[in-house]
Amino acid sequence: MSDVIPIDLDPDGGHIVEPPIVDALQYDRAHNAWVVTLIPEDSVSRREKELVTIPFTSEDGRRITFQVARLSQLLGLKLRELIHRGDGDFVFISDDGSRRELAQPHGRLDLSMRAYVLLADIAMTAQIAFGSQQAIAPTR
Amino acid sequence: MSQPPNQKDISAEETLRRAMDGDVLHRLPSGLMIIRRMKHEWLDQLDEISGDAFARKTDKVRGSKFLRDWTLFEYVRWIAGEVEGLGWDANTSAGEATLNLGRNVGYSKGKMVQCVCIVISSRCIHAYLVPE
Repeated sequence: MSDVIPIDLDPDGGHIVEPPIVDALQYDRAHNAWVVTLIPEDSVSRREKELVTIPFTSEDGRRITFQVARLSQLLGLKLRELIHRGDGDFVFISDDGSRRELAQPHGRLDLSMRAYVLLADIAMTAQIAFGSQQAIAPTR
Repeated sequence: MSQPPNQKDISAEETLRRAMDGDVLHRLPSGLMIIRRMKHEWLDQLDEISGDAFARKTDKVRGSKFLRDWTLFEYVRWIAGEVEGLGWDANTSAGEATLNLGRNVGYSKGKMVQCVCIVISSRCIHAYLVPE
């Protein structure tokens, strides 16, 4: 018999999502790049946010594009940008301006968890890109 | 923020309050947009908590918080004034600037701070609090 793994959905308790977290994600058409504001892990940066620009054609850029496409499919909209609302809450904005919010606790836990997995992947990709750029230009 | 708001300011604030999280609060002549970020706005419940609970509510996962007197009207007015001096325009893809206001502006991780970081990402601008 399998054990039950409790998931804390209490916003006053532990965080349901932990850094790295995407604070904001936008596609900059003019510069052909993803611009990510990131809430980094403390081990990477103790600042609340870090900013990273990821060329669309880079490996990291292609990975983010892929995950954004999966998020779009999951949420049923063509994702233009996403915004972190604090804790486990996010708002997704589509090309036509329509919005979809992901808040905890969510009625469709399965959808929430799948979205969190994709969001976590985007955040980690952005954090690695940030780390790499810092290593190249340490005197920021 | 030292002067009491007049009726025009109150009306402007009411209009800005209708914006949803992530919506544009104001478009600058340069084409840049000041965005609403509700996780950095004061919450009534913050008046009733302290200590660790307050620190958690103002941490980086839940967002640093501007003081209550930072209305959206003041937030927009202040950012618009500062951005002009930063030289950002529609061709600025990403950037940030930290400014010390020399007075208390909000809380980060439970501590009062006087510095604000303004961030631009793909023509969208917002601000949050940073420790000194």
